[in-house]
Amino acid sequence: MNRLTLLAALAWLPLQTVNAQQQIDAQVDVAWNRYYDFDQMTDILTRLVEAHPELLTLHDLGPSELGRPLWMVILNNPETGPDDAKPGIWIDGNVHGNEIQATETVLYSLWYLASAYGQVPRITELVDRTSWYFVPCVNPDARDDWMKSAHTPHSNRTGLRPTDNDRDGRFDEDPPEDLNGDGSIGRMWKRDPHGEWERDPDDPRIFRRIEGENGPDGRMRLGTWTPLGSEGIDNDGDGRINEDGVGGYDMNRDWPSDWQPRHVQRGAGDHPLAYPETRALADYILSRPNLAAGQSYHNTGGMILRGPGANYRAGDYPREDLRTYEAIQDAGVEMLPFYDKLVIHEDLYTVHGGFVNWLAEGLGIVSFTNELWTDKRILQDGGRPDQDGRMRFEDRVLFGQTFDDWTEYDHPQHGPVLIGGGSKWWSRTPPPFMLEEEAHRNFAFTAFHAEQMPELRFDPVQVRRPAANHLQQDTWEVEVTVVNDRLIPTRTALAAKNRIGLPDFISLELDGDAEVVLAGRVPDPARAPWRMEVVTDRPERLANETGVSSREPVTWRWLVRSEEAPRGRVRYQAQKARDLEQAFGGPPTTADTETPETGGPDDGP
Amino acid sequence: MSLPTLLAVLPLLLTPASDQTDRDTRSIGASREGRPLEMIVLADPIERADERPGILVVAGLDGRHRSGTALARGIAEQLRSHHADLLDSVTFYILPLVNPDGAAGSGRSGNARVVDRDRDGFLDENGPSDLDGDGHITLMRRADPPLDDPPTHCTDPADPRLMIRPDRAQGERATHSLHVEGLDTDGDGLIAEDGLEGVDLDRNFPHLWPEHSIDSGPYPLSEYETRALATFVIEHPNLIAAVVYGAHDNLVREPDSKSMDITGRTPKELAAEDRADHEQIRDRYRELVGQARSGHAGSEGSLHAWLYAHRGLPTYASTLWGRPDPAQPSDETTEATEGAAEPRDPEEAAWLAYSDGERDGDGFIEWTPFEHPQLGPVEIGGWVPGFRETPPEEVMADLTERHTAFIADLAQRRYRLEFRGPEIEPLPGGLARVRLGITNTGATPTRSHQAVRTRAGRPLNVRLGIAAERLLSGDVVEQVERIEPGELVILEWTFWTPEDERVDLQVEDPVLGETLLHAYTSMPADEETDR
Repeated sequence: MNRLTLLAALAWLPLQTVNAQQQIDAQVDVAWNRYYDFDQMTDILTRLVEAHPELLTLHDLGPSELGRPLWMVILNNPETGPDDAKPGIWIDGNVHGNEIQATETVLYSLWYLASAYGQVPRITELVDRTSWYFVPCVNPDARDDWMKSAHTPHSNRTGLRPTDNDRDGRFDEDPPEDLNGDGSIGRMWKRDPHGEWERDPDDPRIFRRIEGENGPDGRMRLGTWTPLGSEGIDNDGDGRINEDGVGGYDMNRDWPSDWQPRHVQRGAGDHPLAYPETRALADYILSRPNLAAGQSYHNTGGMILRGPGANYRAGDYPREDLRTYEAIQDAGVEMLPFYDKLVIHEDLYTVHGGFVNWLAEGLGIVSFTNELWTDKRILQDGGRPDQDGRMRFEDRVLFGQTFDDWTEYDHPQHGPVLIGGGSKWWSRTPPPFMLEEEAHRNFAFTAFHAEQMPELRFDPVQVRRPAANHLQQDTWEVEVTVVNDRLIPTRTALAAKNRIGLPDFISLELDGDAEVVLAGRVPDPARAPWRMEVVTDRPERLANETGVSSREPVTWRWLVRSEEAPRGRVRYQAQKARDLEQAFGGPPTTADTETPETGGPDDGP
Repeated sequence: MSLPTLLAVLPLLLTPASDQTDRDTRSIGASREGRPLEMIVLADPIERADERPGILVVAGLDGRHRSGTALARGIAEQLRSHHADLLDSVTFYILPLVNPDGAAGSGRSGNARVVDRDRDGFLDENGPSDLDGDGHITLMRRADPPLDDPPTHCTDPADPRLMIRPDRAQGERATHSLHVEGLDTDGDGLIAEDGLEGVDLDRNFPHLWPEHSIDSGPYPLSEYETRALATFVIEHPNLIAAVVYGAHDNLVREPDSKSMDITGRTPKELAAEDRADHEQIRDRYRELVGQARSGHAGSEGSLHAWLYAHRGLPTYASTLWGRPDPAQPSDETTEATEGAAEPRDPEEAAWLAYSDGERDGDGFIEWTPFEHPQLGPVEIGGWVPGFRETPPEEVMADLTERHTAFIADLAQRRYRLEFRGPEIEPLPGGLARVRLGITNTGATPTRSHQAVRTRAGRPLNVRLGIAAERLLSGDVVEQVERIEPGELVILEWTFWTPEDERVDLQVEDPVLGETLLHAYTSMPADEETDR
């Protein structure tokens, strides 16, 4: 513990003992019952980083398409090692510009960890052995536009690079617009004596579809209204309305694993990583092979999603990995009200080139997408509200703040129309008073996820004479077992199968004249402890492609020729875990005796 | 042995650039080590290059494929000198060397990315080495190896220089182990397992990209060179065809026009609908280039496969050269070889015969005893790397002429548009109809079926200067996805015309640019010739 941390801990001592309660004291006050635009987000990040220089560093992976910074914050305690020497978790959000609460959820996670560090022992311990990479907003251009301009809940998913959606050689020339000036992109309706819709006589805000109903006179009923789509006009005079709006692509279809072109995957760009935001993230992520966990926040629907995104990749996830994924999802289902554990291609839809698919299938990182917020939370019965229920919630809980009343408008192409409906806040974002809970519970889920990143230890190093060695008195066995105390293995089975990244390595360094004869894994130490997978080429350093999982500690043994009991060090290196090093056999006899004994466990009984 | 043929073509590479070349050369990016990716652009005037139909010619994805680079440069010279008449209507974009880092120095196939090929955490620590100092990395064969290096091959009874897998059913047994020429310098028991190979640029493109392959890059277009080339292609919608010289062939060999990829929506190699168009060009290639044989490597992640499958660009992959037919053997020779063993691999044997008979044995280094520091006695020898890909110097001039003829023919066959009308048909009640005919008078379609499918480029747009609310039928913007050679496409609009008026039509072709046409609902007498 460094001095600052110590001081901090002392300062909180009275609070924790005398006035123990759950709340943490934060150096940076942030209201978590509201949403932030890009400058406000930048301000929160800056204040957090300034208040916690010992833990946080701010990086710009940008610029974005329109030149904004692409902020990334690394949370790492350098006192316990550099960030890339620890297992890392990647957390991002808001790659779809309209899915805004993802950003607040990431900001909250960062704020909570930095604030609770030194106050909450469980958090302190977790932070000290892991590193965290936060990108609160992958699509800052579209987010900022969403916050500041008229939108629907569903626009704009895309980034803001001008794109020729209707292939007429003009770019973004016919977007929707806020014709009636109510700050929203609403829906447009036109009176139509042969329409399929009518307004609810009890609540004219609601349009109802008439489906095969007989009227009181026995004749089939017709409605009086026809929907015209989103609010807008024919800007370019081509006879079509809103056919080429801003952007027009999906940066969550832009990642290298199972990437497919546009005719197969709607929203794909010209090639994988075609946009500055995705390319910058990918290049950064590739520079951090220590990443062992990933979360990418989206909205909406209350889902904990894992890959694969396409049915033909279902067999790519080995059974051992699925146990890990499902155990973490199961924990999430308990922590997140009305969230379901789902598989993208089975339960949602087919996604080619999705981000978490790349993390999982391309890089062997155990990753999820959480779809934040579900309207099952609106009423207290856990069901999805119907239109009337949604309106009661609107009137009684939200005081009518997310619905724009229908107003008459004289449309240049359609004549008199009604414009209005749910505002951009209507359906995909939690009401502000529920945002903090949504953020905290999801943060807690990622904390659980992060806690499951591999953590290794050696069982005591054994140095002994081989049981079968009757003749050669100078032969010794050095044996060690590596245990992973967490759910996520150092290498997923998928990574091992596809030879992703580097295998783990275990190495032995001997003092003095001792010499390794051979080495190898002991495949079944319980039942056949004498048997080894013998390696004689470069036996000092052995590769372990399959890593170490929590279910299966791995034992290695070296046969060493040495006059006396050999001394030295064993070292275990895994890209997704902290390195282990353990000395054994006491200090070198020739070395300075001042060298402190690092605790050879074989000294024990 | 005499100087290998690839050295013989070096002078071609080293020919100093003329002033004209300087003027025509632009850089489309830089390699990983900062070398410019130089593209020769042939157009007259050069300022209007991007406004015309473009043909892309690419070579040198493999840094050792120097004959491809020499050929591409030769084609540029010939197009400039012998086909100058084409240059005011077609632009040739010629990129002779995509991989300058690989070509630098002694040359390697891949680019300069450092790849940990054996994934041991050490980089390029144990590459092949030229143990016998003959200037080539070849093979080492070890007779009667010990059991820690079990034998895998035996000599071909037909020619003991050729190594074959034994046919155990015929009583053959393995007698030799085979290794790449080199040492085990890092004590891991592997010889020459991690050298300076880099990324194979022709496996770094998005179509069927081989994920998790050590030589295909961390993601598609991860390399400076491939990214720059892909960006160039995407930013040049005026491209109508591409020719790629390298390890792939879809001209001598029949490309697969039956299989789709795993999504079922993208052809692996060639869409069935595009096959007939491809065969037309293929026939021209066979006639003009006269190449009899080719090799073909798997095309996963290759440039040519991506250009066609994702961009819809008709792309012709050529190995540029094939082994010529052997001279007719005399009767005596035939008799002499009767009763001799048939070679196991006729292709290998034919190459060897060609090397022996027509190339003074330049293609094959005779097995020569060598005392290997780790393996003991071995023999070093085998095929000269690049021999099969490198035509003899004396045929280069003729080959260049032939390939130039093919590319010039490709340019001649480009699509051209002719318009008929617009014709006005007045209708009673203040209505009129206008029709426009568009004919493709070229020898190739405006776009491939695959381009239509992928929507990678724009279709032909025809914009009518009549407000949408006056249109009874037809759209303000009509889109024509494809016009076959000789096909007449007729577009038709019906509209309110309150008085005599001029009707404007703007044709926007992604390759040929804009054409403005007009007609009058009531035609003035002298208007016919005025257009």
